[in-house]
Amino acid sequence: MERVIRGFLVVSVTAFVSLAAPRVRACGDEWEPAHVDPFPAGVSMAEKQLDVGDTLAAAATVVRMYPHIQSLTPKQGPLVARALRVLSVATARADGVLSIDRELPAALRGKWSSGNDRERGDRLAWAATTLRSLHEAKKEDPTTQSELGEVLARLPDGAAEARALLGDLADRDLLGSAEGYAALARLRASAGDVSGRDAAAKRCEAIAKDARVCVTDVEAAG
Amino acid sequence: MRLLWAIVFALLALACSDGRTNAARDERSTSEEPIAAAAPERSGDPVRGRELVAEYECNRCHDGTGLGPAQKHQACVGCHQEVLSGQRAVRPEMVERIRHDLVSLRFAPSLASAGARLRPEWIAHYLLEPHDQRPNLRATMPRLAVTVEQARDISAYLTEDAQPTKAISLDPNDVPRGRTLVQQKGCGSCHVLSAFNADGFDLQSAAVPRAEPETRGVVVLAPDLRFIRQRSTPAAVVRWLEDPSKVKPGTLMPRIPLTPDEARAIAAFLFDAPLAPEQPSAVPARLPVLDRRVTFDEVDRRVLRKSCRHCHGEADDVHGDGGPGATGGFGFAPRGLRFTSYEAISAGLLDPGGKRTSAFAPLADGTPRLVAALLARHGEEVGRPNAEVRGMPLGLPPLAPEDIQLVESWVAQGRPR
Repeated sequence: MERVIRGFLVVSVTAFVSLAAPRVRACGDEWEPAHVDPFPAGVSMAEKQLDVGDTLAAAATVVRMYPHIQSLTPKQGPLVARALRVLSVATARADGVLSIDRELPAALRGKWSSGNDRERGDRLAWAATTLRSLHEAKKEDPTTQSELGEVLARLPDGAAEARALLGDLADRDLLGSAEGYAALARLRASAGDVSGRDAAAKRCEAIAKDARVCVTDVEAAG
Repeated sequence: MRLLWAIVFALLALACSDGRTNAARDERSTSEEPIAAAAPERSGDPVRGRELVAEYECNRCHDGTGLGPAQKHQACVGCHQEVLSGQRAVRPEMVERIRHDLVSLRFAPSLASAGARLRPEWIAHYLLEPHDQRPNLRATMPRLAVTVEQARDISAYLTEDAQPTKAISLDPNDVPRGRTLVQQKGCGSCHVLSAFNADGFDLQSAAVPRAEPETRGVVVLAPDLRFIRQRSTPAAVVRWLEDPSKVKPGTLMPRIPLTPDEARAIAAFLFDAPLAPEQPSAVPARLPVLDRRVTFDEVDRRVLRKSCRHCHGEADDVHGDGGPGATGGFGFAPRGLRFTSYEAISAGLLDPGGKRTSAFAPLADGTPRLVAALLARHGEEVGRPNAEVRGMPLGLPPLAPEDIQLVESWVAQGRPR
């Protein structure tokens, strides 16, 4: 009886250890853990894509990692805050319409790409709310202020605040993006400030890697 | 008879006078009490000095501060030593890329037994006006925001261990013998003896080609002996020569076999030999702005990543420490100046009032602040610091004029990405 019990214990312990041990993939003498958290690398990649002007790719990267991102807030952690920032800025720069369906699973298609005015406006409003909460957390960060200005510039009732925000940064030489200057140029053009528009456009052209960023809607409209 | 007594009484009255009615005489040295010597200059508070050594984080580079080692991610010299010796997990290609800077910050002089070796007033002066003492050590003492009073307090703390010793006088007639001994004993194989008149002697050993980066601690840390007469006293130098380890345990200075007479003769040479007059050094010419387009990518690759980012980094990268230039350190308040991306550098730095200001704002002469800081480092090396801006990179050799030209050209062109 004792032998039976002992044998049962040995088998049980062996089974437990085998099941509890992490699964590994052996390849010759190397092994690697089966699971590596992809989120830090993914968010970092999205930031780089945004930085080089690949706005849609940046947005797609974030949405694939966080399909439910619109229900998340910056308070959920620095990685989530960074992802939210990338998607919000991408949304602003794409004027609320992110044509990324081809890079998304079927369940998410249409959610970010519809050109419907109401849905476009909702996405821009969401981006503005998100960037505003990031701005609240980093009051003296010109980058966050500039990006908030960019998205406010896209909202019907955000123009005045955007012009003040971006104009103040430009006056202090703290506006660090061509897109920010382009937004400021558009706002000043709409307000009839021709010399201000020209100054902002000139800075945009000096900074931008791709001069197309600096074309204002006023110019595009002819 | 009455007249005689009157005269006697009058004489007695005069003799008993204490002179207090004569204010002028009070001030002359006819008073019976000796005039107190002029109050000595305040000598520094060692207790406050220790607090300041902690505040300025001297232990990030120096041993012998009495504070214990700095935290691992803040121990500059310790970290570099560990990387070079393979104790830290760093990719080999990265080590290769930064090897030059790693070597230069692999050593820093220990502050142990400072009181037994160095003049307190020299230490205080050096904290306020750091200058190159060790030609083979690429890094130099950084120019920190130390006040005169703080320098005195730090010096008082560091020299607290000084024992009163009898001053010695050196015989100037020993200078020639001292020069002979310096050559014979090979002091020049480690020490530079700039400005000493060799007078036909080969004082400087050619054992190590100076063009190559020196890696031996004993050579890197050996000071230029022309500064001995300011740094130390004859008595301290003689004691040091007789037995360096007894003065400063663990020192790399070897014990050279010397008789007491020979030690004094060498000291006589070091203190009394005439020095060549100091030649005023020139700041390299400022190169003109380039015509060709300079992008941020190039500036980042050639300058910012190599020379700036380590101290002006992201707080998220290393335990919340973005480096002294970003999150604070070495006594500097956090300025939030990061060189990690185009947006980061465009975000400027925090002024003393906590408001953001541009890193490219022009100084009084129109030079953008960032460029002025790079130029100022050259000025500091020749004893002409810029009162408006601290030279950068802090405590490291100035950037080459071509690199400053690159940065200045980029700024002048509107800072294209």
